[in-house]
Amino acid sequence: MVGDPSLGPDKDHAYGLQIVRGALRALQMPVDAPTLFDPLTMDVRS
Amino acid sequence: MSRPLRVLHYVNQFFAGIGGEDKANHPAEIRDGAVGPGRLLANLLGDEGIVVGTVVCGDNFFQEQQEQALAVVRQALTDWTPDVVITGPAFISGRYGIACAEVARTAQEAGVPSVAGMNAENPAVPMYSQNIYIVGTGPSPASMEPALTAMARLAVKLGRGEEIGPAADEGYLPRGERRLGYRAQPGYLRAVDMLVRKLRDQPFASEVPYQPVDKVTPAPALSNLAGATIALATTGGLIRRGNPDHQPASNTRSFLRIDVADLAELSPKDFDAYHAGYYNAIAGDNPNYILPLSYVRELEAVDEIGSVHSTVYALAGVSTPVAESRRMGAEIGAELAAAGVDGCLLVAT
Amino acid sequence: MRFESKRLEMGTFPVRDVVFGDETRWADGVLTVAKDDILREVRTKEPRVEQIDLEIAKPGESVRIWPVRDVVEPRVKVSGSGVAYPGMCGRDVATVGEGRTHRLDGIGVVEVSNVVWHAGGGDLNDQFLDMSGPLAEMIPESKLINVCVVVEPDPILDVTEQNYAVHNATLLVADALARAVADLEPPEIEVFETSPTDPPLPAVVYVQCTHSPQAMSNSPKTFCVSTYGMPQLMSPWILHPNEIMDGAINGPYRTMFATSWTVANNPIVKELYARHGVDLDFRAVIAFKTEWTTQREKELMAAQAAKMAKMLGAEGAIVTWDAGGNEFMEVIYTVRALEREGIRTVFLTSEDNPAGGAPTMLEPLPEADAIVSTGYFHSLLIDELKEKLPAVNRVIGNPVKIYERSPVGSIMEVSGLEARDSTYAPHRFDDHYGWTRLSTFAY
Repeated sequence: MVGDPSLGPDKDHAYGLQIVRGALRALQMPVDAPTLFDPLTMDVRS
Repeated sequence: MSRPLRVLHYVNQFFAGIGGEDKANHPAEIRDGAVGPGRLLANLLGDEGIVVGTVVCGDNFFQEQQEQALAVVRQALTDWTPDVVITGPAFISGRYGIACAEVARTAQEAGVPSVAGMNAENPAVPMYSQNIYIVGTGPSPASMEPALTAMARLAVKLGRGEEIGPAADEGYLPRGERRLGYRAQPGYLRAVDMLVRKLRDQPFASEVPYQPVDKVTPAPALSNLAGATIALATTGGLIRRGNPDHQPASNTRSFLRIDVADLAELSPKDFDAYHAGYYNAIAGDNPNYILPLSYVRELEAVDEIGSVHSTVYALAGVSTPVAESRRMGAEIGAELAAAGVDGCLLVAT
Repeated sequence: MRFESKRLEMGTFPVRDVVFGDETRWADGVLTVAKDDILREVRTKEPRVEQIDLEIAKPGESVRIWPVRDVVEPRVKVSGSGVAYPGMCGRDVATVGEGRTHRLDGIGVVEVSNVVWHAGGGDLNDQFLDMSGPLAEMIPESKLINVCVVVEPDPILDVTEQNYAVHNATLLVADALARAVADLEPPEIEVFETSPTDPPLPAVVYVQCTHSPQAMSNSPKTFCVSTYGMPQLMSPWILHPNEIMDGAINGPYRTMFATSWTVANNPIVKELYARHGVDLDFRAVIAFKTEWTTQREKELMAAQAAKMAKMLGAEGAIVTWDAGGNEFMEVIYTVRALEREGIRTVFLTSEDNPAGGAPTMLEPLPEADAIVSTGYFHSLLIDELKEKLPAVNRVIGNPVKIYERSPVGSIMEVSGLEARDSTYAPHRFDDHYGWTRLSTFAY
């Protein structure tokens, strides 16, 4: 996703920030087993 | 012919012929010579060893007054100066198994090699098999003779200080170690042989038994992100440009600590990616892709997070053995915890 | 579904000595190599080559060949469609595996060049062959008489072009040598044919996983071990075992246990053939490219490979791979997927270092209940071979070493070591196809 030159700098930055925000949201969610979070949709899959 | 080994044996009240559950409180005592299955053991040892003495103890006594029981064992070790200690076999009996394992461990700690015998399903096995030699036996006393035969054979080797071979050859339960060696046939032949056996429902032994991975309890959810200190770590192979730290691109055994307290971002002038598992050029041009410092600085500035931890951690996560990964992970985790970090973003590639 | 019974005759010409001479020919086990003629031919057919020379290295000599990119067995198809090592460097892609092939047994054509694999970073060429000493004892190619093609391309070319230029030069030398026996009657002929077994025996497939450098290099064309010349990530293919015998999978992947020579002489394929009609019915090879980059792709490829095996009627399978790291995931998922299809599976693999009692499989799965271990080479070389390999009298190739592996097995860049000096063994030496007796034991 990020790092794709065709995105251009603004979209690249926006997606990067969304991924980091997604990771920080994941830190705030209680889990008890390996859990997959999709940072773009915040779908959660155990 | 070398001199016979001096063997000390341990049995419970039942095998000593004292009695069953009603005599399980029988206190630990030392007897001369062989007792109960020790007589068969003595026969099996033949010229190789003499059962000089036996510690007898009730299973409940051992469980409830372990220190006293072990004091008797230590006394026997002093009195009899054995070359090797043999305990059990305990077969499937849990209390007896733990007693056998504890006695074997105590002997080992006193510098006397020891062998316990019990069934692989005995509850003592997972507790002790990494620390002592446990010969795998059948589940019941019906297999007394083969059990003692295997125990005696291993005890003689240990007592004579001989090199101990692989678990499968020597009859002990694996102690959690794996070592290199040569098998009789090359790998391709073993693979086809194993397949043919598997297809014919014949027994076969995997050369790498299944070993489940560690289960880690996740840390509790972060409750206050705006007040949290967030750390960054990467296995994406972040290095200082020019690699002055000589970080390897694979099979990494050490991690980098980089002080980012004064940095707003990772500039490609100062940092690079060096990792033998992905295309490095894009991350080399913008190292924030593999360690998102620029992004978390933005969020720090608008108070979405409290602060960014001043040290970041980096290594190339390629082909590093699990033991090394475990060690480095524990070290990084301990440092972050000691520094009061609340959460960490780890970027994998 | 059952394959047409392809029939391949493999004619073997043993080579017990190689000498330079006026005419390239094979007689009574002696291969004479007309060096100037061959070099002239290669320069004509492969103009991207700037420097090229041939040198001979024999087993037991105090020789180090550095750096080594590939070892190729000279082969020629004398009847049946296609060419040996099809697809590579623009060669014919016609399906191979039928008719007759002649091979020179006991020699290797070694590609010696400083060209790196790709510009993707980290994937350096630090491989070499010692012709004597502890490393030579382990490596099958060290037991060959090696005709070394010391070759460098026009440096103006991009790295992928450079790779194909030097590899094509190597194949052209191998072709020139194999041509010497094209019209001769071979001293030994073996016939490979997957005819139906009588009585019916359990059908078996071999799942051969080979690395693709596509993810690492960001290019589908990057030179590496290939299937009919295709190095890129592709969904699994079904090959007839005879296609493997004819080198349909060819090219190197940066260890001496994954060269063109080792994949064309894959001992598992030969052993499955030896048991065909005796213990099993060798049905097919499923060729599987690895290093997919997402979990979904890894799961998908594993499921599709297992489905193919099931549709082929397989009751048993052997799975091998030639790499390390994250590729382990699609490989072990394939083992699991096969087992879940009811196909009894054996997995041949090296292990990670078990120090500290750690699991030696990146992802241990209970379905992988029949594993053959070829050990872990790093530690053997470090612990049992007293750290470093001895110095040698002669170096074929570059007299200077640019890369070295550190004592723990990591690739390090170093500057200007003499290649003849005592050195650590190359970075990875996992035995991917079970050539050796090396293994790991529980203690």
